Amino acid sequence: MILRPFEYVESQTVDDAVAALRGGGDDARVIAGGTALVPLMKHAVLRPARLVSIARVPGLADIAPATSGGLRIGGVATHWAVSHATLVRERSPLLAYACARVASPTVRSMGTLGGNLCYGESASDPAPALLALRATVRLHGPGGARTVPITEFFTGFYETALQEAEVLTSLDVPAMPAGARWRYLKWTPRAQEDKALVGLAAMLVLDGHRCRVARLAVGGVGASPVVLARAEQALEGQELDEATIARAADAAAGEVEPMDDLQGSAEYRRDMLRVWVRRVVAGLAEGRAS
Amino acid sequence: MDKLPWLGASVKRKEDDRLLRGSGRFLDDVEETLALHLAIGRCPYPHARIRRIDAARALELSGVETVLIGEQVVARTEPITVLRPFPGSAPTVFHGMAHGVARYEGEPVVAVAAVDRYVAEDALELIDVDYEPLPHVITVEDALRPGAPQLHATVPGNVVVESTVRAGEPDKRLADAAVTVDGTFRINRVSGAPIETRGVIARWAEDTSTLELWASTQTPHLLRAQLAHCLRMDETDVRVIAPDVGGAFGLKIGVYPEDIIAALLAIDTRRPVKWIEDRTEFFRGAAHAREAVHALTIGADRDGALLVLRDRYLIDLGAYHGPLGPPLLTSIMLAGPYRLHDAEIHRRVVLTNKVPMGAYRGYGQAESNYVREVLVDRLARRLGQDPADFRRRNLLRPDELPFKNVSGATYDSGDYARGLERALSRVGYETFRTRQKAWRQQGRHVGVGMSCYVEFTGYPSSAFLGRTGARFGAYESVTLRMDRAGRAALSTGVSTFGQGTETTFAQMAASLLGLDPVDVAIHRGDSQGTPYSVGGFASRTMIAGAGAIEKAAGQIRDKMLRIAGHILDVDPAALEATAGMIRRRDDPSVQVSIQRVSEAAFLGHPLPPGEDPGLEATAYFDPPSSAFGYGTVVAQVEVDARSGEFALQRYILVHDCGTQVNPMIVEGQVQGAVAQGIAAALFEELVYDRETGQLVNGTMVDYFMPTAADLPAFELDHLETPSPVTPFGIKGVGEGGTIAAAAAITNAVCDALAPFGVDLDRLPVTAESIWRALAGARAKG
Repeated sequence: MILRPFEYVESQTVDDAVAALRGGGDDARVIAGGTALVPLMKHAVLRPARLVSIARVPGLADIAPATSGGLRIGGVATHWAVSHATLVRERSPLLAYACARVASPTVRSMGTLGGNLCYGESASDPAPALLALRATVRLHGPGGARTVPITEFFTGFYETALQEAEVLTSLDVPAMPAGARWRYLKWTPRAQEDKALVGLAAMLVLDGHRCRVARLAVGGVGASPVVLARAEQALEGQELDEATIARAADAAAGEVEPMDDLQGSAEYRRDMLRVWVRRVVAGLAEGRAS
Repeated sequence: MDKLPWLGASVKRKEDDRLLRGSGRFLDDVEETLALHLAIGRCPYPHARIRRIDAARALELSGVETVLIGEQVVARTEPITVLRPFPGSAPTVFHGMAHGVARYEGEPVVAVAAVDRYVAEDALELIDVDYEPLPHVITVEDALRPGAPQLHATVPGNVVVESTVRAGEPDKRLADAAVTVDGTFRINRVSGAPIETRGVIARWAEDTSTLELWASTQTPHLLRAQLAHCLRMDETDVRVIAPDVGGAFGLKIGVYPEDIIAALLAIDTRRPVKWIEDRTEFFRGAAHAREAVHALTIGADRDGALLVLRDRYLIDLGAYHGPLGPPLLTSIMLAGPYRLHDAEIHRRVVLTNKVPMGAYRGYGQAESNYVREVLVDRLARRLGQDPADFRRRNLLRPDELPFKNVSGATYDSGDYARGLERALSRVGYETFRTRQKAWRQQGRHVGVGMSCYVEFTGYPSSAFLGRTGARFGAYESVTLRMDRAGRAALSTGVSTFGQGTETTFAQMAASLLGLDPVDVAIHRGDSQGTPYSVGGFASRTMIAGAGAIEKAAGQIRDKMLRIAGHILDVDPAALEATAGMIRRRDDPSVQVSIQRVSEAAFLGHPLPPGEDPGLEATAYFDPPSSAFGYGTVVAQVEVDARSGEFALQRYILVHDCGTQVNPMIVEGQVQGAVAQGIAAALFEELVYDRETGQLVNGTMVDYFMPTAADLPAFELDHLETPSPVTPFGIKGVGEGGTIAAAAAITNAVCDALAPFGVDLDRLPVTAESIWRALAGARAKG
């Protein structure tokens, strides 16, 4: 529970940060808000010799409109900033709401959106929202800049596509379609401060009762946050009656590989995903809860 | 005696002025100059032989003063004593540090004293400990299997003690009973988890050749006694001081290995040695509590008269018998508030490779209440009776008290059914049952559950404790001393850990001396300058403390009246002490201030002929009996029968703790205890992995201590039946709120899901456990 000695580098530019990370090799880590990293260091799960801060790189916390009608959100924008920005609330209310559900006010004020994603925690709140919104991750590393669709960003249990000495610089978040219905459900059956057992992000666009677009993603269930592709397919182009919704819920339950741990058994997670896909989609179909 | 003016007054807490201003002084606020900081290397395995320890590299690290290993500790100290040994129990030799074999993950194996904690922790990493992992046992059932790993050569079969309570003719009653129900219940391993973890500063006082120990403890004097024994010192040469203690809940009773380690290092280095427990250590070092498995049977006749109870239960002690160890009250209070004459209660205390068990608020009584009250509901359902009616029929009536229960405890006073009725009327029970039917037709599953308890508070005399082998008394003590300004100073060995004793003791002393509570200064928690004391636990402090204050204050008051009589030239028998004055009862204009009387006592004149100077008294009081509080909890829940999630909608507790010294403090105690009761019932559990023997959730991230956001508004109400057997009719109150939570909520959930026929039999009650039970019930059809 005590921090070990480490070197601290305050970067002025992303290139500086990348250089400092390269120089530090395996023992270097990026730090922004530190809300995930510092507890891991206190428990000696990680013992970086060098911390490379990107928290003060000019522009890296900006939240800006994109010409497509979407958003570009800097990697070190805090959850608080994202959830409170008028721009995000207008263009991507699902993301703003998901960021408002992260942990506690203290963590939201310190922790950053990029840090949240790079940690690779399955029960991340913004991750399912960004998956449902089909965001794009912008990374900058020794080889320059590259983009990764967020659907390819989460690669395993606390694993991401982030490569050595890479920094998450920003996210491109497409605009939500006009009239989209959405919900982020953070289900914490044990305690309010718990992480999500089911963190379900949903966005539907309806023509009358027919579903034109369905976007569903979930965190907390499997090893990584994932898009519920089969459930989406089960809904798109269909009338949202009870049977269709139940088929989508079964599809969701069938396409995940749930974790099995103290928070919940695999079978419970699977069944609860079925329950919540059904309830959330039915609610959206009826025009409730967004 | 006239009515005591401050008894029953919600006086603001004296403690709060300093605590709310941030001026409280907790252990880590105590700074000794030139202190060394202690880091402790702990066994990472549940059970391992320690083959070799090489600390050479650590000793070379700059800033490291010294290293201590188990071999030295074992050679230089006695094993930790057991404060309440059970007759016939096998000893588990528990030293301040493991030597040879370590028996739980977290057991101290090596210690470093260095200039700061950082260096000390770095040094630990340089120490090579060669472990040979040994086979381990994590469950009591595994520990009892033939061929199970044995933890102590002195404890064959891993059973530390086995005991049976028998009353009446249980076998015959079981055979006669028209209906019997049985259940196997698993009670979770939890911890009191105070905000302030443990901590200690040991200092060798060169000038007096004494050991001084600052400790976050609820028993400064018992800690001193145990520590002196372990260190082979006399108590006079050991001083224990408890500063403000940030929560204790039973786990800060008696000596811990870290106290011994810090003391040895302070003696060796001649420098103060400080250790503050971090939360990771806390979950692996501070006493765990409650874990047990009960196989309980109860039976009734066809009309619903409770006839018999039989329990066979196993307590999971962990790896050693600590200072307090397993609760006795589980057996003693298993019969609860019911008219029951026939019972057999068989218990075994079993060793496992886990943190040693200790006391936790409700100690044994929360456990017995849970298993009994859940099974009582099942019995009522089996009989087709309403659970309230079943209890109404079987609760002891006031005219049946005093009543000696099947285990020999004598309930003194109370009106148990009145508590039940008050709680039921608060929830609107009759109306609820009607509404419940309507809700069920709408697919809503709302249930009400209840749990009745009677609570053992305080100890029934030192002689009683002595007969059962205890190494401490039932008494409490105070020294009261007036000063020249007419104020009083009260010295008590009881430390301040949130229970409000500074205020309630001041209220008692002020009432008896004719003063205002603000004029009573409290000196507490320092073994030097306070009379021998037992400490704050077992809901006993107010009962025993009030008796001691009554005696000491009475001596001082009588002397003040004699001096005042001399000054006023009035017969002391005609005088009274009130509002800072000594005055004639029949003519208050004839008066002299307590200040002037006190001044006379300390000047030595004017005093009556033959009267010694001074106004000071020390008194001990040994309570003749325990007092029994009681109460009923009624909980209302709504359950989602698909997911198992449930909302605790109402939580009503009606209780009776006898005379209340300070109703505001009583309410605070009850609120806190209820929160901990619900925490253990619904949230908390220390989980060990059976394969690896590791504690799986030893951090606050996954221990699930609830926050205010998780708890309902508590609806509290109380009755007040003064105890006939204690000073001023006081009963203990600090623990009662924990007792009935688990059963009331379990019963409420089962009531809500009655159409499915759901039974719950383990704690904590979680959404998933209900989902499983529902699946099981559906499978049975």
